[in-house]
Amino acid sequence: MPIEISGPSPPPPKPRGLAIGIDLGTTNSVAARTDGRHQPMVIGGPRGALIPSVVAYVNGEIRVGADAYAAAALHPSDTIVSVKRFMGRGLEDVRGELAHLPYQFNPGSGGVIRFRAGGREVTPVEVSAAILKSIKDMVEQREGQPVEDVVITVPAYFDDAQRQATRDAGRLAGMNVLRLLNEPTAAALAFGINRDRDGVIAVYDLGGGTFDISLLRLAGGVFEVLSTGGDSHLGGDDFDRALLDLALQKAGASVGDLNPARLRAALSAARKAKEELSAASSVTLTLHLPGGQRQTDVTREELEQAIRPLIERTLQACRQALRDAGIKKTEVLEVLLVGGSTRSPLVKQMVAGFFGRQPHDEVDPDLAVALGAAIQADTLTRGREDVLLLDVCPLSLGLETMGGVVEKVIHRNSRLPAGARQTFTTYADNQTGMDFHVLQGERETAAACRSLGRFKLSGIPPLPAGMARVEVTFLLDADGILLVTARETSTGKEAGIEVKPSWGLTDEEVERMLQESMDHAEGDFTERLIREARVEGERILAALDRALREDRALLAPGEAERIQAVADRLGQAIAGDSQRAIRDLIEELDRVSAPFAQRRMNRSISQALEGRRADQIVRQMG
Amino acid sequence: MASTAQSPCWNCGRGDPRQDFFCAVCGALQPPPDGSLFVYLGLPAAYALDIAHLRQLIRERSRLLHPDRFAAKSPRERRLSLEHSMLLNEAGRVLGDPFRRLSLLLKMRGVEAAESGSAGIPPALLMEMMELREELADAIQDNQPGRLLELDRAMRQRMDRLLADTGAWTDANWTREWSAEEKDRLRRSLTELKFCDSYLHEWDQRAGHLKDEG
Repeated sequence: MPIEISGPSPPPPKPRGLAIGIDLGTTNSVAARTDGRHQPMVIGGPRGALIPSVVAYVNGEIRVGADAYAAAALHPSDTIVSVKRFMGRGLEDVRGELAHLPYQFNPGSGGVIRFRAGGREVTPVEVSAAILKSIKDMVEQREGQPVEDVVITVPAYFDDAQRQATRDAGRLAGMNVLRLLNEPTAAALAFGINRDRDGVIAVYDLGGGTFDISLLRLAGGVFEVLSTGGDSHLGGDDFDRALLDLALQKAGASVGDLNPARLRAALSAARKAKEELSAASSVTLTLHLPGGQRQTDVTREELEQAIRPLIERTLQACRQALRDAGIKKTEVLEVLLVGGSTRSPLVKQMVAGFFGRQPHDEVDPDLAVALGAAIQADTLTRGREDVLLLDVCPLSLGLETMGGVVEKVIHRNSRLPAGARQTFTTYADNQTGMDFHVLQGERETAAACRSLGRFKLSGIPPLPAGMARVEVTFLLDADGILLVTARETSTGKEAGIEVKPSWGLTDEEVERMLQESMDHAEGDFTERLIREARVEGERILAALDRALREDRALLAPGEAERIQAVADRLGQAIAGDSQRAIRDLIEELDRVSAPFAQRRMNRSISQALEGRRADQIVRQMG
Repeated sequence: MASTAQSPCWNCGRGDPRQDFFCAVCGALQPPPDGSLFVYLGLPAAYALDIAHLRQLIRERSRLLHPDRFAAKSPRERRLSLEHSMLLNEAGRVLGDPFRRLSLLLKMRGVEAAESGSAGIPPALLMEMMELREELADAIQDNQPGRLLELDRAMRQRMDRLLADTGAWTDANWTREWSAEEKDRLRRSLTELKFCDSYLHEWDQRAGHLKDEG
């Protein structure tokens, strides 16, 4: 009866360095850890807790976060934003939204998406790894301790390919991925950890690119997920696009009229307008169209009319989740809002209306997920025993049978880890091989489900049709990642695959990428921290020096002196050997020069949009 | 809940009796013992079951055996915790559902439902099934919410009654041998229940939204 698990298994994690939690978001990412008393806290970068999930490949450098964001306007196709939307996807999957994206793609092997950025080819896994690596470095700088283990959050509705891609990105960033944790579950953990009120809570998580709804029962420290649902392609980005389409339509234009730079700028303007409409009743959007600049007014009412159908889609998923959990709305004790897009007043209003109660918003919707991930990282490495998460799989898993029909082996909302075994027989006399096609999804036909991979069991002894018995075992681990094995029962002949999606990266590719990233790993840790801080400091001083020379006109009286004073102190710190002093001064310099940098930025962007030559601007940007 | 198997601990090799799946000497997690899901949970093999008790039992065991508790332990123990947890989850899925629970009990006594499309299905039942399916398809086709809700109610009643009757008989006669006629009758009931279950499953898929609030 018990399913025995064999095969290699990674060595047990030894908690030497820090174990952190990372919310790898579509728009922003957040890192968190726990303190000595197991309390979670966010670890902020120099510009705050939210690190833009943006990577720029410019001038042979990889820039991440706010630095990369600054480059987006000038190098639209070399700056990758919202990469999460591409994780574990093939080019075909995202064809529909490419019109809104300024990227260039290389035709990859096996349908893997490969961006062409800054003269190189990068996959979504590599882009995500760059974000994670930069967060790891930031945390190490801040905490003065190496980061060893990580819990990375994923949307609950992520499929197997998306989860594997995320895990690969974590490995590629040089961390031991302890666990992939579903975002709504993480948020529930952060919310429920210090409360002793038991009952059912609903987590409504609307981020930049994904939507999740999870229903959980809290009882004595056990967080039991009852059901989960959602849409891995619906989020605030869609609100931005709806608003942009609306504004363009009013101006008598369409997205097709915009080149990549204009499109990127227009999307940024749309996002800003959307955020402003959370408070204001009307905003003016400036669009740079081929025929010149156009001002368009958009009212909150118009925006709400445009996004209402999108929110209605999320409520449909809520109904399904309630049905799957066998829960009535009145049994839901509390509703928790997570994700930046839940700041939209219409979202709040419609969710409150749907559940018939005011949602909680005391946990910051941007931070809750990372805090929960940190708690889970703590639980896994320090053996915390008062908390337990029991999660489920979001999508059914099955095999293709005769006629292209899917036979479900593990049903959606099954508790993890889950194992199931199904027996198949041969359909022809003397059949010696059997092909298996593993699928994920709720639809009845193989064509309508997501293909996870194919494998073959050969060497079946020649027997009359229906006599050979092949046992297929599905094993879904606590990360929601699938392992399939097949065994012919009379001979014991076995074939197994860790299902690698047809469009995913091969193990060899991941290994190669890991090798390539290893060059950073050697050397004494503190030595490396100081070296990195020095390089960073010198880079900043050089850029600042150039900027001060070139743009003296943009400086306010006395400003240059104030900035130079801090720069001088940074120069002295670089000569010394305190990593902390260098870091503190970089931050101080960042603060004191921020208004100047902003002025330069504004001017560069308007120049870019006026069609100045790009090389001129690049020089000015430093 | 001492384990039935008394083989020595895989880790320390000492043959001390075990307690709660952990070696009493070295504390290492032991493999799940052989036996049914009932045995595994230390429950009597019976249809009658306190579901709240079952849920609590699984929650308590999960607290001890979940992979999260073994993240820093040896690979062998981590694998064992995965096996235990899968078994616990399977127990929740099967024992927590009256039809699956009854199916398991009858299977333990060698009674299984007839395969769909096989000759083992009584012709009268087969005929009735086809008619009911057609009725459901028509109601979906014609988009008749009232009719659909009525079909659901009727089928649920039928299934609940048959489950209760068959379950009660099984419990009452569990300890004695069953005659061929009795087994045959049970097989017919189980086949009918299987049909009811798949009918309701289809209803949920196609018309489940009718029960949504708001």
